[in-house]
This record gives sequence, C-alpha cells and structure tokens, in this order.
Amino acid sequence: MKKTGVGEFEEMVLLTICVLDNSAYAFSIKTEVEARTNRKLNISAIHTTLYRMEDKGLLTSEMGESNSIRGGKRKRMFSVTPFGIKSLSEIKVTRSKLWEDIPAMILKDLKS
Amino acid sequence: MSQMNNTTPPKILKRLISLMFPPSSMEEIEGDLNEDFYHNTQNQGHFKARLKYAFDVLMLFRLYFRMRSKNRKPTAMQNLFSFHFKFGLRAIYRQRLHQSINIATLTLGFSCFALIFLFVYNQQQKDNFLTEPERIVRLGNISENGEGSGTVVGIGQLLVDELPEVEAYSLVTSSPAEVKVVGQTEVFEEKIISGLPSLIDIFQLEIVNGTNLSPGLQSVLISQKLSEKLFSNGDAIGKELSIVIRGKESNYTIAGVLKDLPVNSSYSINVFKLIKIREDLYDLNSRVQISYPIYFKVTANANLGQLGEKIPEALKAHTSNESMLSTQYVFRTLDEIKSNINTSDSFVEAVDGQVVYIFSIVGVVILLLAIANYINLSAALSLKRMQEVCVRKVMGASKRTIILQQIVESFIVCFIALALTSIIVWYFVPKIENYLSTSLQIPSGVIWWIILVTLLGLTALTLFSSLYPAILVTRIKFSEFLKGRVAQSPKGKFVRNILLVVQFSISASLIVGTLTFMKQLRFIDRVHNTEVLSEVLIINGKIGKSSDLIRSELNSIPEIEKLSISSMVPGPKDNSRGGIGTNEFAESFDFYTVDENFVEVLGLKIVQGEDFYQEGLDNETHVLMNESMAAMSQENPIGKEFNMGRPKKSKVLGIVRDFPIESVKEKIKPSVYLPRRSDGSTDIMLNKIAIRYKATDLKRTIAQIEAAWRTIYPDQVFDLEFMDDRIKRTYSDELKMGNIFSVFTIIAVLISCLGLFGLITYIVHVRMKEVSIRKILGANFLSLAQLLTKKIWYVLIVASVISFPLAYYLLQFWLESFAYRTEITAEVFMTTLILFMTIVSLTIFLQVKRVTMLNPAEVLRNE
Repeated sequence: MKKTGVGEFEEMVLLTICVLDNSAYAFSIKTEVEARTNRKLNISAIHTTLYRMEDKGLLTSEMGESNSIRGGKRKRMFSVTPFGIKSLSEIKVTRSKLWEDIPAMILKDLKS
Repeated sequence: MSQMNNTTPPKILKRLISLMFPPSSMEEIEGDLNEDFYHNTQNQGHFKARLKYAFDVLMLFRLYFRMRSKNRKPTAMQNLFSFHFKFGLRAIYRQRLHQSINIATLTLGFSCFALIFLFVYNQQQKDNFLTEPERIVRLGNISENGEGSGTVVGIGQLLVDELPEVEAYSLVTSSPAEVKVVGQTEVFEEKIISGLPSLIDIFQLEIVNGTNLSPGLQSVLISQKLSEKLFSNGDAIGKELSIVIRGKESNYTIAGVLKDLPVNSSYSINVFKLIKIREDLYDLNSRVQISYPIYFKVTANANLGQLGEKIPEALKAHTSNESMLSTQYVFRTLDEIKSNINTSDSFVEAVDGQVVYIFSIVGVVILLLAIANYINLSAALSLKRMQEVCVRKVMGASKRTIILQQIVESFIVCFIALALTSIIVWYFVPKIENYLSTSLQIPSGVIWWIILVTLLGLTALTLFSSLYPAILVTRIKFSEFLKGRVAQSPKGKFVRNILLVVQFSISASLIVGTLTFMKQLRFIDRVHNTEVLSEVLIINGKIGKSSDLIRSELNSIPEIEKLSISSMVPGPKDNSRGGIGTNEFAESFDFYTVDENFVEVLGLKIVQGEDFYQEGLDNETHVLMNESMAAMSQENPIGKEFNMGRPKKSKVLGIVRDFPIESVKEKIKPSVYLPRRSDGSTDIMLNKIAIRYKATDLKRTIAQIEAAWRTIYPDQVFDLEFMDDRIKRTYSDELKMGNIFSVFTIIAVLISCLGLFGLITYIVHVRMKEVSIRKILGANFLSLAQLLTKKIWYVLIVASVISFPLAYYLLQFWLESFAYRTEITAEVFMTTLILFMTIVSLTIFLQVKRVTMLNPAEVLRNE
C-alpha cells in the first residue's frame, strides 16, 4: 500500500484545521500557524499544501461566505476527512510509541 | 487615490491570476490573497505587502497544472498540442528520407528567397539617408538614338537664370587619377569627381571641416575616409596634394573635408575638384559645344514634366543652334537615374533595374517551387499513412484532430527548415556581400517587422501546405481503405499533377534563362571579336612624350609582331571624356588619338576607304571614323572635309567597322580616330599600348616588355593585362549576375529533382507488389520503368508548353537592356528539353533501378 506520506508542515496544517474547526480557510490557517509556531509563512505555500492534501484525500472543502476585505470573494472552507484524522492519529501513535521506548536516562536532561 | 492604492493589490497581478486559473478556483485564491494583502498592509506597510503579493502570485504558478488538469474534459483522442507534437516528431522520424527531402528543399527555397529579398530590399533602400531626394535631377535629352545623359554645358546657367524652379546646377564628371601627398611617395588610385562648387549643395553633402571650393583657386575637397588614409595625424586642411589625371600632374590645396557618405549611397565622392572648361565653351552660340552630365537642384514641388517642356522656349532667346533647339529635354529624378543603366553617368552609380526585377521574380518563383514541391510530397506521404489515420478515426478521432495533426507535423518541418535557413543566410550574407560588393544589411528598426512577417508567413505556409493533404486524408472512408481501393484511387492525382507541372515549368524556364544568358555572353564575345584579340597585351600608363622611345624599344623584342600606341583600347571605362559636338553632326561624338597600326593590332576592319598610312600621312587633317559616325552624315563622308574642333578641317580617310569600346549594353558611340600629330602635341593623350605578340615563350616576352618599360618609365607602375581579360572586366557585373543566376537555376532544378525523387519513391512504394508480380512474370527493367513513369513524361511536355512562351517573354525583356543582343532560338528550347529530360530520367532511373533490383519474393512474402 502507498504510504500516507504526511510531511511535517502538512501535519501542522492538518492539526491547525482541526483546531480551527469550522473556520479553517487559507488565510485563517496561515495566521494560526504563524501565531503558534512563531514563523513567517507565505499564503501561496498554504495554498499549495492545502490543494495537495485535498488531492491525497486528507481534506475536503466547500465554498463558504465572503466579506468586504476579500473583495466579495468567497472563502474555501477546509475540513479534515476521516482518512485525514486516521493519518494524524497514526502519526501520533507512532510518535508516542517512540517516546515511550526512549530510555529514561536520555530524558533526564529534558525534565530538569 | 492614495488611499485606494494602499488597499488594493496591483491590478496587473490580479489580471495574471485570472489568466492563470479557471474562474471556479480563482475566486477563493484571489479572496485569500486580498485578505492577506490587507493584513500585510496594516502590519508591514504598503511596499512590503505588494512585494509579498507579487511573490505569492509567482509561487502560485505551481498550482497552474493542477488546476488545468482538474478542469479538463478527457477525450479518447486528446486534443493536446504536446501529444500532436510527439506524434508529429515520431511520424517525421519514421519517414526520415522523405521528410529530409522536404526539409532540404524548403531550406533551399527559403534561403534563396531570403538572400534575394535582402538584395532587392537593399537596392530599394539606396540613398534613404537623403532628406529630399526628389530635388536632385539631371537633365537628359532624347534623340533618335535613345536617351543621353549629357547636355551642352551652357544650358546649366541659363536654366538657373530663366526658370524659377531651378535653384542650382553643376556639371559632373569623373576620371581615374593617382593621388599623393606632396613630398610623400605613396600613391593612391582614386576616382576624381569634377564639378562646380554647387555640387555639394545639390547632392546634400556636408563639409565637416574647412570651406567649399571657390572659383580661381587650385583646391580640392576630400572625404573623411581619404583624409584619414592620407594624413594619419589629423588635420588635412591646407595640405597640398599632387593629382595625376591622364598623365597630367597638378598640385592642389585641400580646402575642406567632406563627411563620408553612408554605404548605401549610390554615389561616392572621395576627391572633388573644380571642373576646367574654357570660358568660351559655356557660350551657347559658340562654334564648338561640349556636353557633360548636368545635375540641378529644383524646388520641392517642381513639376518635372512641365519644366522640361519649358526649356526649348527658354533657349530660343539665347541661341540659334538648330540641333540644340530641336532636342527634346527631360529631367530625370535620382530614382530614374539609378535604375536606368543605359543613361548612366560616371557619378551616380546605376544598377540595372531589370536585373533587380528579374531577381525578385526568380526569388518568388523559387519559393513557390519549394512550396509546391513540399505540398506535393507531403500529400503523397500522408496517403501512405492511411492505415494510421483510419485506425485513429475508428478510435474516435474527429476530422479536426486529424487535420490538427497534419498542421503540427507540417509546422515542425517548416520550422526546422526555417532554422536551417537562418543559419545558411547568416553564413552566406558576408560572402555574397563581398562578391557583389553591395551591402545586404537590414536596419535594426525593421528587423522586428521582418521577423514578425516571417513568422506570419511560416504560419500561413504551414496552414496552406498541410490543409491540402489533411483534407485529402480525412475524405477517405475507412471501408474503402479496407477494400484496398485507396492506393489506386484517383484522389489527389489531379492536384499533384498540376503542382508537378508548376514545378517543372519553373525549372524549365530557369534552364532556358541560363542557356540564353550563356548565349548572350557568347554573342558578346563575338561582337568584341575576342578571338582575334586573344593574342594582344595591353599596357596601361602615361606614355606621353616618350612614345617613340618605348616604341623602338619594344619593337626590338622579336616576339612582338606589331604594336600600337593610342589614347584608347576597348575595355572598362577608364578614359572618360566629354564628347564634342559640332553643328555639322546631329550628335556629339568621341574622338581618340591613335597611330597607323591601331586598326591592324586591334583586329578592326576598314569597311570603306583606306587605313592610315605612314608615308605622306597628313597628321593635321586625316581622320578615320566609325560606321555610326558615318551614318550621321547625309552623304558618303569618304574624302569629305569636316570641322572636328581642330584648327584645320579634317578629311575623312576611311570608315572603320563599328566595334564596342565599352559594354554592348550601350549603343556604339559615333567616334573619330585622329592620328598622332608628328609635332608631339597630342602625345599627352596617349595612355595605352596594344601589343600583338607571338605566343612562343610568353613569360620571357612579358619579362622583356617589363624591362623595356622599367628603363623608360622608372617612376610608373607596370600595368599589363590581356585584352580578353580586359573585355571580361567590362562585363564583370554581367558575369557575376550570370553566375548567381546559374546557381539559382541549379538550386531550382535540384529542388524539383529532389521532389521528383520523393514522388517516384512514393509511387514505386505504392506499387511495389504490382512491380514484383510483373517481375516474376518476366517484365524487364525498361518496361517497368515505362510503366511507373509514363505520366511524368506527359507532365514534362505540358510543363514545356507552358513555360517556354513565358520564358521567352521574360528573357526578351532582359535582353532589351543590351543594345546588341542575341536571339532566342528554337535551339535553346530544344537543348533545355533534352537537358531536362536527361536529368529527370536519371532521377527516375536511380529509383526504379533500386526497386527492380529487389527480390520480388521479399516484397510479396510480407503479406
């Protein structure tokens, strides 16, 4: 079977969409990620990622409402598909398993 | 307004987005970008926001292909250019032999056309730096013998005085001369232009340094180019030049420097001096009149036709000279002067208008030939791909798809040909420029237009040449193909034959043209009697006073049979002299100083009367004249006395058969041959020695001649040439044109032969099976060849019938530029037919031979 292949940035975007719940569209995702990770992003980078994940089946989308700043253009609202949720949780499980298996000795620096 | 600018992203980028994406996905992207832009403006300022916006738009290109593929409706035969392109390349590769023939012929055709276009374009663009070319006119006169470029010198000033439209006039003449700086030894050969100071104004020349010439001073103007050549260290003004014209040396002061003329100028001026004519010759009532080309500056809107008609009236008040009053005068514009080689003068260089015209025709014709050939062959090729087309159709390809496929293929072929053409043109232009010594450049302002037109032409050609085969192919029904009726179907045969007829006609006409050209050259040889002149050497130099000395010196060389010292031998113009006119003869005539051996050494013939004879020859009065001159006098001139501008009346001793002195393009001028005076007063004119020699040991003879020359004229160059070379030099332009024309003919024949080769290959391929079966049943090579190529002979005959009258008409037109010309006889056409048939049969033979050599079993097994 083909690997899911969710990258680091994609994972972040997916999680952000989950967090934003029903108000996830390109610009809100951008500001949210920027706020949480403290890094500058380009809106085009978000667009490319979103469309790519939609092609992979991780996301679905529908047209939403509009406002005056957007010049009357509607938003495309994104939400994570069950497949997306599954991929996310798979990643999480893999990661937490890894965390659990780390010997305590190595982590002692982290705690202090 | 600034508020608006601050809140809306750049319009141009917005447009870009709408171009990039389909409307359905554009909406959200644009909205997001707007929102982002708004926030960025708030936080980071306008400039940064715009920058980011631009960057984002750029990065969104990544989404371009995704958006496209999402919005495309997939079809069974995808309508994509790239697919057609790929198929096209494959198809071309599969038929590499035929397609390379196509590309080769198209390249040849394009290249010829491009080069001819460059040539014609540059001819058209001559003198385009002149702001008012229409104000430069020359006065000419029309008489029974045609038009002449010279006019009686007195008329110039008269017209300036009498006609308000005429502003200035200047005589002009040129003579070859040797120029050197006084006190230096290096000698330069230059053409000296002589005229009046107003010439500078008439020809819109510019003096960059110094002043114009003024009457009474021994001064000259020189060009910047010559100034740099003579004085490497700057200032030339006030320096002295020594100029030797026809043996006469004089010193001149440089009064000014002229700005160099552009290369595309039809006249050139390196040294300019005042013309020297005796004052009394300007008098219109003087007994002797001399004529020179006269140029005028007229007002901007002068009506030249009316102006010319006013001249006789203006003359009436000032002269009673009958011939002057009865002459019909015409003003010729610079354009007319440039394109009429018959009335050229020695200043404005004329290019044969007809040659340019003929070249344009040849260029277009060769292009047509290449295109016809291409259409023909590609139509035949596409029929060969019937199976592929039918399968495509069954799979659901629409007519449009198949036509598009053809167009793309044809575009690829044409494009490759065009690319090759540009390489060829780029490579050959400098060489041809060198050969023809004209510029073949295109100014940078026009080059984009030309590229645009070329691309449009390419598109048109692509469409045009692919539509016919495409329609041919799409019309065929699949069922018919399966029944095997297509290969023999008459579809397209008619058009194909028509195209073949066109091609053959063009080639045949060109062959006729080349043959006629060669015939005319042979005719010229005969007129000049080159055979008799093959054993004549000419020495060119200032003989002057030492003529008796060099004569006796040379006569002591045993190989020299006879020699003649004269002021002229036939050949290129190098001894220009204004003619002289008297009231006893209707037209002006030339006169030359010769000696008693002249007629014999140059192989001339006395048709009436006697030759000069040494004993009892009266140098003062005896003359010979040529037939043209004799024709001007009402009665037999032998023994009669005429006024020939000499102190005493001249008695005509004999009439020499007309012989051309310059090119046979011009009518043989009336000429008088005066014997050299025994007192030596005419010796200054002598500048040629003609030597008839015995060809036993030519090298030694020449060495002896040179030794003799060196002892008598140590300060002069030894300039020796063969008479026949000298005559060839007169026709260097014709010979060059002839060579170029032959090259074009060869190319045209090559194109049609390549086309024919391709076509026969195709015909043979289609009938391969038939040929094999016939072979098994015992057919021999000849009967097979006849079977396969019967039609081509018909086509050839039809082509001849069409092309011969056409070629005849065009060539007659060209031949008219020669005053003496050959006839186009049936022999020329027969030769063409035989030549053409030989070439065609050779082409056919090679192909048919190949097929008949094949093992029939190999072909038939392939079922």
